[in-house]
Amino acid sequence: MNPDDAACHPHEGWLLSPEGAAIRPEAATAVVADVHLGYEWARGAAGDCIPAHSLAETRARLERLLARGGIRRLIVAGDLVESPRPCARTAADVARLGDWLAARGVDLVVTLGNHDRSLAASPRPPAIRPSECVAGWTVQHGDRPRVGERAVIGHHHPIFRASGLASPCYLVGPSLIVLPAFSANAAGLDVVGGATPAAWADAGLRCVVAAGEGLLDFGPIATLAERLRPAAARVD
Amino acid sequence: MTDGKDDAEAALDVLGDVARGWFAQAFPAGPTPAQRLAWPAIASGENVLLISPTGTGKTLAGFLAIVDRLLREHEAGELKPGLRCVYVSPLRSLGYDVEKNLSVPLRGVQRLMGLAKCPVRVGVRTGDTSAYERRKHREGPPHILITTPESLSLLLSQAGWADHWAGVSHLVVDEVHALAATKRGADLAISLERLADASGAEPTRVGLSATCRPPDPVARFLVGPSRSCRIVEAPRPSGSQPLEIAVESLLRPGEGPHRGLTYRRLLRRIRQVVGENRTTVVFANSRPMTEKVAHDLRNEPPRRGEAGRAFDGETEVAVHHSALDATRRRLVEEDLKAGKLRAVVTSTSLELGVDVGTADLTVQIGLPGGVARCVQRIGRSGHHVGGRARGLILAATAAEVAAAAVTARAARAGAIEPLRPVASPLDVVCQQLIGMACTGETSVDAAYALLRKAGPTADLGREDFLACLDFLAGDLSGPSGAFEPEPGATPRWTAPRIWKRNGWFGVRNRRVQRWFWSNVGTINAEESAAVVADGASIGTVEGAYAERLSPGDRFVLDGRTLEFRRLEGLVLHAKLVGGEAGALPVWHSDRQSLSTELAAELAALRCEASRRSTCDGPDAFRAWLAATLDLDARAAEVVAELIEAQDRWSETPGVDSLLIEEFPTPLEPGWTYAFHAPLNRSASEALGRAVSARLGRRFGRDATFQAADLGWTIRLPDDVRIDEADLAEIASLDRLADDVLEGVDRGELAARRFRHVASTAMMVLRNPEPGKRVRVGGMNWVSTRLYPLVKAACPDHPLLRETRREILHDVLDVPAALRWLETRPTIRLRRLTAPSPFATAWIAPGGDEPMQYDSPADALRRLHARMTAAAGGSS
Repeated sequence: MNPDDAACHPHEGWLLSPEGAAIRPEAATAVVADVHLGYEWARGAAGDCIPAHSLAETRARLERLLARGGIRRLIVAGDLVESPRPCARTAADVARLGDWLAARGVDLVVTLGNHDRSLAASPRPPAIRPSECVAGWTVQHGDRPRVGERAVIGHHHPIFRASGLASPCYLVGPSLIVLPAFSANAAGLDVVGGATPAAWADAGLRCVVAAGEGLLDFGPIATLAERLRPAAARVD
Repeated sequence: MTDGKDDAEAALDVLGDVARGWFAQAFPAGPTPAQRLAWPAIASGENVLLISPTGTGKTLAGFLAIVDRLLREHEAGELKPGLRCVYVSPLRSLGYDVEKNLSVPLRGVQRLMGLAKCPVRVGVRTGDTSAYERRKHREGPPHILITTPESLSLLLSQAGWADHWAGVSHLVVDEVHALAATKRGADLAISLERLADASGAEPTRVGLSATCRPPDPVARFLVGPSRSCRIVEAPRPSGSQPLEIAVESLLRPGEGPHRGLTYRRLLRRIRQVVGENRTTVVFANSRPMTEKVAHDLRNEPPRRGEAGRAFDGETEVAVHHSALDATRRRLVEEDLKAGKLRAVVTSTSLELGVDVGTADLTVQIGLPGGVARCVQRIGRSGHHVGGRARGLILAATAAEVAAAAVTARAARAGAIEPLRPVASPLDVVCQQLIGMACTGETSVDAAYALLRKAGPTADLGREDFLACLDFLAGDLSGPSGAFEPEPGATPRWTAPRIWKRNGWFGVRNRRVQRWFWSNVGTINAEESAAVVADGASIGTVEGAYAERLSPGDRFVLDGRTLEFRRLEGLVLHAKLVGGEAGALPVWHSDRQSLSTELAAELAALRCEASRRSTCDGPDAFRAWLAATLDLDARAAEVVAELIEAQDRWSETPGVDSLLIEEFPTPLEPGWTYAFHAPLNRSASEALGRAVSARLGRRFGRDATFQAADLGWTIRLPDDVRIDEADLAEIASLDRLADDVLEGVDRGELAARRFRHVASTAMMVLRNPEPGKRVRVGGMNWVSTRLYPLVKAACPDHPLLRETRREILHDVLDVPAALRWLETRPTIRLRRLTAPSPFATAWIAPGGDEPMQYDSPADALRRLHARMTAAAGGSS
């Protein structure tokens, strides 16, 4: 029960970890989103010949997360898999992931995302819920209208881009947490230059960027572009 | 090895009565030197490389002997239906041009023979051919098939065509000099071997080439290492004059470079010459510049002092480049030949043989990118009898003037750069292996032997070849420990293309065949988005560019202004609007590089100029410049000022020294170092990357790097400065190639080139299985994600080897850098307070590449700290 708090960023009772998970210590729960397992098989179905990697990368990253200790449940806030169509290899990878987590005493729960259409029908599916409540926050994918007063969502893959650097980031406000994509394959919603959904304008969101072993709070996204300008190392 | 009976009679005698009769009627003046030399050579059955400048009757030179043979067979009652001759041209439009040109003699012959239909059938097969035509060709192929390298590769891989090659007796490759040094050419060379193999006999090969020096590499490309080839070089027709090229400066003496100003003058000058000539072809080096110039030529009203409109922008000015819709391009070519256009603005698509008819002037904006290109482009004009090829190069800076003058001088003298053939490109080999697999079960040994018969892959190593097969079969293993221990621990690869067993290989399933047919080719445009406006297809824009646009943004395509509406997948929806197109495109002559020889010449010229400036006084100096470089007074003045300014501020580098100038980076904290060396861009980049790597190791910090002809710049962060003591290490010969590679790995070049290699080798499909395209990942997925994944899974993957080879040999010129370093140049370090005139002139800012020595996390932390400090406290 000793999460390594030093590297995590606290927010409204959550601990945001550099791996991309929001941890709720008292519930021994970690929430991630957009794992996109089986990405390579989807690309293979489209015709690409690339190395299988998503299961290995996901496990390596989860390993680092679980090493913080005190996690007994992992909730995936949608898009556990990449392929909405049934894919035997992806299903096998999902089953392997479930076994791996179970061997470490971690229960796997998935709130369905837009890519997860075939998940329930796979041979050994994980526990599936439309949404899950953790300490008053509703964990959901984020592709549908929001449920509940306070929400933890994924789906948008927020990314911080400036001065030729790019890194996944959290967007956090008093009643909304947008998780970065857990998968390295997701191209991102550019929070500095891009248009964020209108619904977020009043959410008071701040941008917290993963940087190696720690996190950096870059402040409110509404003023982010302006504040970066004098600090930018090159005129982009 | 140049010989040929320069005898009109002998040449005509080679032809049969019908062909001779027609020719005598159509061309009473007799055959051109090219034709006189070609016909006996081709009739003799030898392989022939015909070298001849454009506009000298090459089509007939190449074809009439072949058509004649078919006609004679017909007369003897022996002409059977079936494919006899395959003609390959690199451009789709060239193919249609040739078909039209061929139809003239064929119709003439038909009339002479009093027949209702010409006995010799001709067909064209390109990417634009309709499905109906394709089926007709397959069911009953014409005698002569005109096609492109990509379409040929496609046909060779189709079972339905397998029996059609048996009767092929002749292969004609047009514009072969343009193919010999490229991957596209390598692809074609292998296809020709497959064709020869499928024909069961050795078809005679005829190559048609513009001037190339020396011709032997091109001959070897055409026929491979095991066959002989007769090289026939035709002189220019008597009475034709050498190229006339003028170089003008858009800057006036005393002015600093100013894009807006020079652009306005550029437009004015172009408008002026378009008005003075019947038809002008304008070459702009980049697509945005092409579009911008065309747009403004069409729309801008004449300025004060200009005598009204000399031409109608709407109907008489057109754009031509490869991203335009094919129908539109054809229309432009038709109008051009019919003399309906006063001006055509193009990037490079008109460079090759399309007969542009009545053009009487070629304008080149900025540098043409080499002497061969210069000659090709200016050769676009003056094709009518007694005409003269005239060119005008418009230079925007003093450096450009000097480089243009040196290029023009070489072009007038015909001193074309030697071609550097591509050596065993493994990505092309992979694509061809898939093609072979699609045709049917193939023996591994036979495939290897076939590849070695083609010129570009004559030295293909067996190990590399087998690695390509392993990749395609999904059998490549990684280093032990690279992956989690699991049953079947080697990394699994998705979607293998071929099966491989007992010394044979074949295609795995019909899906792979479909993938091959939809993705064949090596011309690698960046991923592009199709632009649709008001229901019509306009053309394409680069995918990366399309992704950056927001609703309301304006851009130009086909000379018209469009407003971005939305991007749906790879289709960009836009609206046609009138008015201002938006920002000026960046000027600099892009990837165009001087040759090794020209760069050395230019560096020597700078030195000589500096010496004369000091010794001879300003007037004599200017006179010498004007005479030596054939410049008008204004252009000479502009160059003179640059030299004098450099000598005042810093010094003109000697050809045996490496001059390093330090100055504070404009607009930011830190130091920039400009390195001056007598090396062209490829060699500068090689040496520059090695130096970057060395500085990176020395200081452990990120640098930004940019290369150009005659030097490069490296920008270091604010707390880092080069010392006298560092100099020896910077230019050391030790481990040069290793440091170049390290410099490459730290930058983005390798990842960018890998994307093209992966596409050519069909590791990643540009046109994926319909309906299955994976959207998550974005356009840069291959460079940012796949490249590191492949490196981790299989560091010696053949496609990684190819990326390295391409960079070290095709993009960079490590041998030239090495040769110069071996002369032990002296290193001079000067600390200045501002960029020197040479640094500003030759090594333009913008477009520099970040080199990562910092970890990304550290760089992010530094950015965060700066932002916090700038905001005056914690955020």
